[in-house]
Amino acid sequence: MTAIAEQIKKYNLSTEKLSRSSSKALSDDEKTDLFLDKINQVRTPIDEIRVLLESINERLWANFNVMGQDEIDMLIDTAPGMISKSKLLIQHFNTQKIFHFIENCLTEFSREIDHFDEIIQDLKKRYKPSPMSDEISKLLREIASL
Amino acid sequence: MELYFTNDFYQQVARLIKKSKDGYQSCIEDIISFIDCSTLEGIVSGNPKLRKFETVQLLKIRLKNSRQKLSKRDGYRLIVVSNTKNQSLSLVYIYPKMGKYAQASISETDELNLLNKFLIESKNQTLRSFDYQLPDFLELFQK
Repeated sequence: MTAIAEQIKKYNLSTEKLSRSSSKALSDDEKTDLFLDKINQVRTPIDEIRVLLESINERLWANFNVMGQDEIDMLIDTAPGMISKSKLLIQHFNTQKIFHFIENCLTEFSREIDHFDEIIQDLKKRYKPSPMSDEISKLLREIASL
Repeated sequence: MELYFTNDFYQQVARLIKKSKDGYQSCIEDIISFIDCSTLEGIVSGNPKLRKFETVQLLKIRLKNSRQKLSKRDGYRLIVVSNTKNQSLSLVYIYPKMGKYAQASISETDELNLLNKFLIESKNQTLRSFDYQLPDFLELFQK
């Protein structure tokens, strides 16, 4: 049983409850909010993890737009068991590896909570920069040069 | 910190606060109360980054709606462009999560449009500035 599955069992946060809550069509924002709310119920504040994930976030954003803070927060709350592995990734920084690590975490969690699949698909979509992303980057570059 | 807002932001706030019954009357107070107790660095590091390039970030800030007693989660999303190089924070859009004008999120197209208009207003020097004083900021929307 994974660490997350244990937490879910411990706090009686069943898949059924999450599925029922997400039965209507949800926006990405709502999905993340719902997820964070649910996960907050099993949160054990660990400052070290927050600092680590913030560091991941900074590094990710410095390179490409993969995740938003919401997803990072989600990982902070759900991935305490992954702390050693992610520390290792930070030490040997490689954004591609970090992305795969995050993706793997989410895939693992999705076995417990089915609507994570949608989040993963969204992440995959965002991982491939769209033509619009290029336009937005150009605008940001121009704004930075003002 | 230099504070600015775009015409899009102005139009949206004007729409939100127009009718008291819509429940967004505290929108300006909620924005000021957030900015008043924040530093630019704190805002940049403590909020989700939609986009980033060097010193420029497009941020999404969660704000409470004190009028409807809604938490940050259910309150507003304030979209801002921050620039740590010139220590500026520009409010480019705001949308509520609940109520008549509720919006789930903003799309890439929205981001593109907001940034484009921000750039045009920056170049044309038509961005409007404001300070932390609530009465002054309120006055801008009452004209």
